[in-house]
Amino acid sequence: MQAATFPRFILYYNIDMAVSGDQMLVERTLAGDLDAFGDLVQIYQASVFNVCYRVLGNRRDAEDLTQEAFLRAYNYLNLYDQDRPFGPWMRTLAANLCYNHLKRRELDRLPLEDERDLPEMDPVQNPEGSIEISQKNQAIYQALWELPHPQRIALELRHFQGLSYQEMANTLDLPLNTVRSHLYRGRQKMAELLEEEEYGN
Amino acid sequence: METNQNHLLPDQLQAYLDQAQDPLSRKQVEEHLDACSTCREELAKFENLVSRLSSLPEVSTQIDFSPVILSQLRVNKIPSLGLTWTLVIEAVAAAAVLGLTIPAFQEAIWIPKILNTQLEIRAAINIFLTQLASSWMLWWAHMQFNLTQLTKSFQTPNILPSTIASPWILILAATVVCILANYFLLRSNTMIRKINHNG
Repeated sequence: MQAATFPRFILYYNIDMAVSGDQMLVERTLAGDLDAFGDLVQIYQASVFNVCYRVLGNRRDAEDLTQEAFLRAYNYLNLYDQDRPFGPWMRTLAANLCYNHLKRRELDRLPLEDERDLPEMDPVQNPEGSIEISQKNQAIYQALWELPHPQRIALELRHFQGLSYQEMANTLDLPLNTVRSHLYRGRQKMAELLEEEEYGN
Repeated sequence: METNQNHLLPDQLQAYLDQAQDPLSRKQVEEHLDACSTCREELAKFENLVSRLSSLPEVSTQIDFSPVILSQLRVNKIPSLGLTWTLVIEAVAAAAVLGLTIPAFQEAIWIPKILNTQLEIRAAINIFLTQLASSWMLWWAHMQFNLTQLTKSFQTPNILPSTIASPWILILAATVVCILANYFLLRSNTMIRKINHNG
């Protein structure tokens, strides 16, 4: 594949091609080509932003941390195992970064972000278009943000990043049982919150 | 096989939900689920949650981050600094830390003198105080400057196998500082010994 035709592969997206394309971009970045990293940012910024947004619960912080995550990814790029796909590595790095950010903020006793901006649901994204669906999804976001941080990050890594228990434990540097109990409590709490919300309506 | 009084444990249920079990225990859980409506309801509750989470739409980003990130990377391109300069800067930093710590040591050394205790005890107290002072210094420096962040900002170039070689250089510098500090401590102790001998 020619390097110049790169960004086009999105047009006929297929996972194998995406993976090999990413590897090529990573190699070019490591060789000192910053624009190749720019392409990686453009490919993954939306999904990375969404990880940050789900974990942090507000847009401004999510934007900051998205940037930070990519900068860090650039610094650690030679530690990234090129036999694995880039996307999951990048998103897990972002999730971990956000988690540490929340922990640090708690440690500094800074006030927790009081403004949560709920997503405005784009009607185009929901073909059914009914308000009820977007309200339901907003309720999910809200319930997610009511969880304590460790539980929220556990749900993020398990359900949105598809990590196994062991991978979660490695990522968060926590014992396996701790991770498992965060996940269980998070699910339990979230199910309760959503149930309450349903009764409320 | 299992009675309905023995419901599935949360761990079992979660592992079943995440398909994180060996086939045998999975089969046991399935058998129990067939027989027990309470556990089936419990499982359905979680399955419902999982499906709602997986159908959650992502929000759209209005921003293209790449120009900002690239410009930051261009500005922060310290790698061109080179290994020599990185080492020089870190050596200067280590010297500064040393300069900060020596007065603290010298001060600490006179405290046991006032207490007028036996020489061995004084020496022990000295060592303890020195350790305390140096660990406090390290902790203080960490809180003040966020050492981890600082070391990460140093980009050791390709000469070294990994970008995280820098913290090791810092640890090495800290070791040198520690050894030097101990040298000064021992010398001061000898001084105390001489003073005692003379007095």
